[in-house]
Amino acid sequence: MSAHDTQHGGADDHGSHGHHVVSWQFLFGILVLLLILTGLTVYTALEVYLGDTGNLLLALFIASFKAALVVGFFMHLHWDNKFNAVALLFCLLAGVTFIGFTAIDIGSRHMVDPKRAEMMTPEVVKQARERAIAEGRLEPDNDDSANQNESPPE
Amino acid sequence: MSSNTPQSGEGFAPAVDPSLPPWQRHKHQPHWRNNDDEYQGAKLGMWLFLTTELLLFSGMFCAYTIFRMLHSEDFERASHKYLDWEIGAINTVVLLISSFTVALAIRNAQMNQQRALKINLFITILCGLFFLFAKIFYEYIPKIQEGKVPGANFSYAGAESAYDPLFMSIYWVSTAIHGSHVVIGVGLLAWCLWVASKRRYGPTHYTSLENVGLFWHLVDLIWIFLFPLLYLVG
Amino acid sequence: MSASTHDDHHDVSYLHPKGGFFATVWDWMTTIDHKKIGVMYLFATLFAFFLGGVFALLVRMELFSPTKTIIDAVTEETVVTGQIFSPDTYNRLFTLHGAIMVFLFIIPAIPAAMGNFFLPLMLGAKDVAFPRLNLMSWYIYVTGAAFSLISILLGGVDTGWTFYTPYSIQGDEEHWRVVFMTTGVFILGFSSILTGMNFIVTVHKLRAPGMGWFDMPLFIWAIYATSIIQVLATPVLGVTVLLLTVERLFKVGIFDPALGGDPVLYQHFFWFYSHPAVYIMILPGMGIMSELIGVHARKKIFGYRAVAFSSLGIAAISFIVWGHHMFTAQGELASAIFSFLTFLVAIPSAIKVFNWVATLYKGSIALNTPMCYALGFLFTFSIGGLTGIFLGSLPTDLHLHDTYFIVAHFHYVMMGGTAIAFMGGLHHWWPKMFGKMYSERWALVGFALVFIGFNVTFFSQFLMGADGMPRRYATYVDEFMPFHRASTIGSWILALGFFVHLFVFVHSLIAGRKAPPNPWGGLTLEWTTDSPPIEHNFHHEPLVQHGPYDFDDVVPPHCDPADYPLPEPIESDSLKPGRTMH
Repeated sequence: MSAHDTQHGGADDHGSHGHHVVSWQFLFGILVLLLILTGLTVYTALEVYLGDTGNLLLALFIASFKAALVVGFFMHLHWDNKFNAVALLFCLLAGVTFIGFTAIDIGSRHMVDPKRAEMMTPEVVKQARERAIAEGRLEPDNDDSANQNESPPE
Repeated sequence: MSSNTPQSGEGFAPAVDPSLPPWQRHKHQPHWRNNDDEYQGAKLGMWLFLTTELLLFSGMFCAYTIFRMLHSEDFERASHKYLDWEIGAINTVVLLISSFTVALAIRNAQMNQQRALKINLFITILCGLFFLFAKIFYEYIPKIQEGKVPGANFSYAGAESAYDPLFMSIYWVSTAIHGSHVVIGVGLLAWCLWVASKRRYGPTHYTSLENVGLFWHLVDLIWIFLFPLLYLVG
Repeated sequence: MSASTHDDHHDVSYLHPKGGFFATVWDWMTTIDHKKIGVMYLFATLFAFFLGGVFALLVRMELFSPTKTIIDAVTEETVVTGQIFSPDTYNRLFTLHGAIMVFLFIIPAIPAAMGNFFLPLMLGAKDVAFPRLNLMSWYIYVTGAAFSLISILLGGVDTGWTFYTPYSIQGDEEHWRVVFMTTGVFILGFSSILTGMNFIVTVHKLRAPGMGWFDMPLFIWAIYATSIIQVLATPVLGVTVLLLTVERLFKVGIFDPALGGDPVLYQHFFWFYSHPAVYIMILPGMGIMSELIGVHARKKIFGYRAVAFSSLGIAAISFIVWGHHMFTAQGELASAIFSFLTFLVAIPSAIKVFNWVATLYKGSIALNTPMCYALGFLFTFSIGGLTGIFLGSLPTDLHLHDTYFIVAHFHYVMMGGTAIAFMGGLHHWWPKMFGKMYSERWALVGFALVFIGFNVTFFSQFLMGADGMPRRYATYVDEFMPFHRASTIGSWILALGFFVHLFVFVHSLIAGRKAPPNPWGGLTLEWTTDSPPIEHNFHHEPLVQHGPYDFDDVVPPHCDPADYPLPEPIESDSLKPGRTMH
């Protein structure tokens, strides 16, 4: 499967890198696996109830596995210069830090002062909305005259 | 990583032989030591660019995470109510196939299969266009007509909670950013097809094809996450 | 130039004009030479510095007396503030000062101007990895700057440079100006990302033969760490201002409480970039410091690896401390975590400062302008860094939050750290960049004015901040008047100092004597080529055979050895006083 390109004089001292040819059967196998996993995502999300968070985590797990297949084999990272993988790793780390710490903040606001957890309740949204309309930032619409929590007739 | 062995610095091909096929005539820019360093450098640059793209989307994923934490039931309901998972699933399959064909196209370049290279690139472009077509005509336009638009302009009468517009905001902004990447990707692939038609890709030179391929895979990667999060588990 | 052995036209100075005036201008506008792009960045950022400085002086002028001083008079007459005539004028002034200084000056100044010029030279490369991308990033910078300037000419924004959401989405008649500004910032972010990518690939792939990772000058390590932050943090700024822009244009409501959004979420988004951005600002300054101290004290940097790794350490820690900007906005648990993590920043920063001081010990210190700026940096940055510790601790911060103490702290770090290092680096490399020496005496006068003016301006702000003077107010109670007066007078001294420097540089360009290739006896590769460098940087591809600071073992190339005698061997048991030269 591996066909190293050795035409560039003296350049082939890097070990395995990008000039890596993958057989089409292998790529096709990955595609089939990805399609099966897509089906699995749809099936588990619609037919298997694991609780609110359970379904989310399962979907994320399958998606991560699919992403790993794409990154590793379609994008050749498995055979590529290891620093490219390191760059990706640090990127993911930064993303996880970003989302994680923000979620820690939002998820822990009730711990000292329960009032702070009420940040974005419908009540608060309603007040903010009324103020915004009073300031002329938002156009009032028919929802505002009716009670927002009741679904309008359709 | 980088080759530190002293080299002439003049490149490997002293003169370009016009009888060679175009892909063999490529000569690296003068500040690189050889074609391979140039290729590796360009690919490293592309990976760094991909990390920035992923982090750009991490903002959308962060907003999604926070609002789903705060309003999980509303989001889950809104996901099934407003979005049609079948269109999402079809688009997922289309993007996965396009990822496969672009990987094949790179393989074709490596094997010097010029005809198959062009066919695979063409299929990839078609897949991208199909994705955009489905997105615009089966999702965006009907949603605009029904008033299922983000934030303050939301006017769909069947809304059940104050957070439905917020869900639609996340949906619209994420898919619009993703969609703009699809547009850019299709444009880049079309450019690659043009280059390929000049026979400028071959076993020793396919740098831009590889990098555009990486970009296209990224578009696919983002969709792999957006699809279940928006369409399935809300 | 003339001493060149080749008669190839590439062996002329990069500043050599190409034909007539228009041909030369065209050559500069389309150049892919990293040196020319660096010089273009230098002038663009210096112009931004001037503009931001004018706004700063107007802000200080307004604060000269407790009531309204100049705002009403200014608004009707000056073109700077255009047609604005409202109590918001002061808000616009400090917003523009902040936004211009941060996005147009400090972030690009050292990496994009000096990094572009010296990173390839110090690595022994012919150019950066992607020269065309480099030119593109300059044009992107100019485009972003143009958007910001349009926003200013149309009347400016008054949200503070942070564009916090309750402010930035209020006031509909002004929303399109905020859109211009945020679009400008979005575009500037692209420029920053491209520069960072370019530098990382250059460092990985284009080091000269013989240059391993630990043979790189410390400036390169700092720029490398900066580039990592630029690549990993700036995209989040991109998505933040993008969301803010669509918020303004389409009212999507992600940050708007009236639509169910969360304004504090905006702060998380913004500071996830903007805290690392603080290290984008200071890290290159620290890199310059290592060069200044090493070369002008003629001593091997103490703890080279520690300094190099502390740059990477700062880059890593920078991603996990952003919450300390939000102690009063976020939840208590998150505040406690972020407070703890914030203290970690002190460790790598202190490693650097202590190692610089240790390097000076027994060095041959030349008290010239670059070294004076380096010593000034040690003083001001230590104050700025240590007051950062106060602010990192939660209880102290709740008292000092949003007071002038914060203002003084970040000016001590950014102005007293980055801008002072920038000035030091500019003097250090000026002969290399333009091939002309400057007047040492007048440059020292400039330094003295800047240093004194800076400390007078901002130390008084620590005092009034600790007494409770809140930031961002145009008026104040009379008790604070002595501090504000001192601060305003200090700002005039500071401005005078910068004008002296401007005069020195202009004089040097016109009448300065020709610089030798290596005026300071540096050992890094940029000193081995001509001053100014030839178009392809080096006559022959350099081969690195010694470390960047091996002053004990190596006679610097291209300089008279009589000027730089090798140090006499010092017996380990005899303590001689440090020798000084010049």
